[in-house]
Amino acid sequence: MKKLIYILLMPALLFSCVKDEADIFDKSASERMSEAIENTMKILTSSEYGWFGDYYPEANHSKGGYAMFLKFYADGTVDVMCEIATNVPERQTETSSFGMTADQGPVLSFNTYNKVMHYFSEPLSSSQASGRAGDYEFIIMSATPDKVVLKGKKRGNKMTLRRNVNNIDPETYLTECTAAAAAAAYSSFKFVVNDIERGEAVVSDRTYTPLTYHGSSSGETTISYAYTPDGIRLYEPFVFEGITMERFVWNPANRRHECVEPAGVNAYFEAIGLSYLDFLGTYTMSYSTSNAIPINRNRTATVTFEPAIAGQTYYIKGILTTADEALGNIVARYSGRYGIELLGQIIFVRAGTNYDFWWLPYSDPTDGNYVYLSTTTGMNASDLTYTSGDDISFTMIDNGVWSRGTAGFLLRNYNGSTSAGNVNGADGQAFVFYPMFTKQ
Amino acid sequence: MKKILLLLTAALLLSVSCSEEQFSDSVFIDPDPALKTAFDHWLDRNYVDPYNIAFKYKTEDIESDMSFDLAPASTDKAIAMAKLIKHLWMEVYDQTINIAFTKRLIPKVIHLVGSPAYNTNNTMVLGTAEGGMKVTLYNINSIDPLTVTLTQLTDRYLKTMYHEFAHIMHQTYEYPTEYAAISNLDYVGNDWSVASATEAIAYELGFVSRYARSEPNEDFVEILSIYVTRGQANWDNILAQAGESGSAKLIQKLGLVKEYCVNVWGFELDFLRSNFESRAATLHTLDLLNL
Repeated sequence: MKKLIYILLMPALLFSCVKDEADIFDKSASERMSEAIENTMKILTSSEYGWFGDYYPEANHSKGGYAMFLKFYADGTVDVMCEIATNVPERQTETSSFGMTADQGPVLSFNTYNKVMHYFSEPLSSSQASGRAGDYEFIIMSATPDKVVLKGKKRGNKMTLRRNVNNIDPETYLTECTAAAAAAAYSSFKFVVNDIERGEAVVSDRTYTPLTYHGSSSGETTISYAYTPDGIRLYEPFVFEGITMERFVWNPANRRHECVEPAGVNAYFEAIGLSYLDFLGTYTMSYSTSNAIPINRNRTATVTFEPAIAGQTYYIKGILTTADEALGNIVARYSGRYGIELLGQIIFVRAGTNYDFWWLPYSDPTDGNYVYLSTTTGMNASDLTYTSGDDISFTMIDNGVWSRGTAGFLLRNYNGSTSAGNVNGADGQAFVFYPMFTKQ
Repeated sequence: MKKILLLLTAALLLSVSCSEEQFSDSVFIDPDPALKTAFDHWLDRNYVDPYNIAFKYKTEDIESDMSFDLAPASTDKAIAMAKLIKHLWMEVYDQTINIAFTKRLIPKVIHLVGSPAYNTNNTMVLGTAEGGMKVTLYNINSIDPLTVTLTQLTDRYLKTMYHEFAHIMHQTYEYPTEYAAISNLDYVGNDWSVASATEAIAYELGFVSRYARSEPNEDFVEILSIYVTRGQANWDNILAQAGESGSAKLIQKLGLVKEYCVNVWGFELDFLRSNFESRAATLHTLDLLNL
């Protein structure tokens, strides 16, 4: 009898699998995935004039973003162009293939090598195994005919593709982004909201790192942005005391990035200090040929700061011999924090040898004389004084990276531990210690 | 009793009625055939049809080790590699035994990655293989089709590929147990890579490489792959360095590997090697730039 009861219960148990619950979706997960992929493919390839987007490498978009142009074709190829030089010069088109896969939702993958796109993601060496920490596989967050929002699979940075509805020439667009970057290349900005100064931002790469507040708000934040043809667009909307800001237009007369999106917000970043362009020009460089203290700057040379990468770096001409300058130049960097940075660097590889010609950091004399083959060791501008861009003066001091301290630089050929001897620099000297620059 | 049967029948009927779910499309999305390039068609003819190998030149991160940051292979390098691998790997087995043998044992997925996979200890991964199913080849973008050399290919990829193929052979039909007895006391597991376990010591103990000391299966496939891909001069050199006792063991091991190839698979290892070498000699007759 007991058995019978059990058996009687069986149909009840089986009933539980009869579905009386309506599906939330009228299609299965895999069908919806296929549709999402098909739909995204259709949208991406439908834009006759391609898409513009801001590409942010690095976790937390800590270097800021770069304008890119992308054009997807129905045959599975894609053209990629970037505002900055990558593995090809700036604004050069590179074609490769793309595909869509079902992974973490529909995923767009740039799946064969593209010299522009994969510049940001390829590993560089054992010590730089993540390279520039970019993504080349993107989860599709949303896709509409005007806008496709992508999210990097590994670093999680967003990239919004905007349809090029007005057939803007991509090369012109990207050139204008570069020009916008050069025009607004200042090291720091006042942050002004409703005509009251509320903070100060220091520029590092394409970020305000940090933006520190004064007045009723305190603390600091970091804002990443990319250049547009007329200003900057922030990585994500920035909210300050309930006011949202997303896009700014450069006003050259006031030297301001003024908020235009959303409309009706009265907020801007106004440049303070010297711009990249201000530092261009001719200087008297006073320096010592020895690292001895007290410092005796008994030598001078006339040098010029000439544009290298617009908005970012300069060639310092006049230190090397003319013959050497034909092969390479000493590069200084415009810096948000310091004004000018001058680091150790390989100037060129001398023809016919494998001796790199170095601008080589040299120690201060406190615990002996050392050189250091390092491209992060060097000097920053200090005691920066000016009344305009015409009377700039500054002194280079140790940047604190090397425990021995950097007193100056030695020009020489170098290959591992083998010295090929000194070569002549300005005024017949190979050493440049404690350099001080005064605009002529 | 009848009642019970009835109930059972009812239960069965009911249980059938709830399996009304319809099967929908596969989650694996076939690429639209219209999107196939000339290279894809070439791969269908040269890899898929004859060998049932998926040659994945479009990097799929999901196919590779997620802990590495990688870049895909460029298509022109992938074309060169597809031709080289076919010429120096699959067709060597075809020529030595037959195409059915190759098709039966060859790993079913070859996955290309353009960049190296850098380890933090200043080394890089050049090739990996998983369970006889998949071979991943890294750093493809640094291959120059115009100047590529056999040494480059052997050191980076081919030796590993012959090594993996040999694993599949012995996993299919085991080699005689007497092989493992030769160096029974000298296998050291993971300690093969410690600094004190040098190549020279490995030779003297009768191993063809440091890695061969890890265990008998690795020992077996290292003998086979090094003997086939690195040439007679290299083999003689190892024997010379191995000394009397080491070289005796190496010769004994090679003998067993050769016997195994003949007895189990019906081919001469030396024939495999000479086919590899003669095909390698014609490396530069391949058009690596065009399909």
